[in-house]
Amino acid sequence: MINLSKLPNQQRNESCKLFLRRHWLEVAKIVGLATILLILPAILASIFLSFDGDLMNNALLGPLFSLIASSYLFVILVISLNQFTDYYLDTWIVTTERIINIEQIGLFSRVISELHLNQIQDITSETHGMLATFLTYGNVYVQTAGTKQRFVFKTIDDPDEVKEKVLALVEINKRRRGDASKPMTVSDALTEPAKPDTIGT
Amino acid sequence: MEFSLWFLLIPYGLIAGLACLFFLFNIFHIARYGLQSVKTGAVLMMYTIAFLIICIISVLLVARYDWSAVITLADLFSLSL
Repeated sequence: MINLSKLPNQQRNESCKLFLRRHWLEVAKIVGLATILLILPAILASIFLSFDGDLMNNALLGPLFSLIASSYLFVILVISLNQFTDYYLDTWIVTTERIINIEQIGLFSRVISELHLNQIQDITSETHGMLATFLTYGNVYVQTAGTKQRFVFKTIDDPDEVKEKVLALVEINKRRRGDASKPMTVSDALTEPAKPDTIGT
Repeated sequence: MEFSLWFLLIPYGLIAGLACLFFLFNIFHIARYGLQSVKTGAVLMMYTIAFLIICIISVLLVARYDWSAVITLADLFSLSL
């Protein structure tokens, strides 16, 4: 289990500032889909049975129908549990030193990546659509300099506030650790001491 | 030609077994990679309760019939819908 006070490779004085998951609307979607998938066949079956109520007592169709209904329930359960697990395990952890992106892809694939705060160059928050505006959810894009790497906090609650909080943490971190997001200039390269493995080459 | 109804239980058993396996996979993932919190405990409990409810409904649906009964081909073709 993930313990926020004991993160892997945790540095001294590093503490968790934000723990993010996707918006609750994602859970509502999963529950809504499961409800529709349960209610719709039940309505259809009741309409079908209203024409011939004796159908369930048929020697073959009764047992067959009960098995199909039971199997269908199991399938709906598995789909719903898989979707919820995917939602629950997709998380973003922002500490005073780094951002950890944990992405669960299906049941058997999991990607964990991290980014140091002083490498961040740009943070963008976006909210698209009427529902997203009313329920205040959206995406936050975290961009590092010169690389393709881009973290996306997908459909999180209050993206503007998260952006502000992460920006504040980035500023504090850059003051302590130096800015690693800017490309190195010629004067920086000249003033930087030579690395041991480059001496004599 | 005749066949016993319990043959129909084989595919059902396979589906129920797979559902059980996926339920256990989900429980494992949440317990292994979830956040150490009360919420995770609640999620695990919710999963277990949902699975038990579906199992009980399924057993109630299936237990209504005599699965040792034998069906003949003539029965199949004389079905009136």
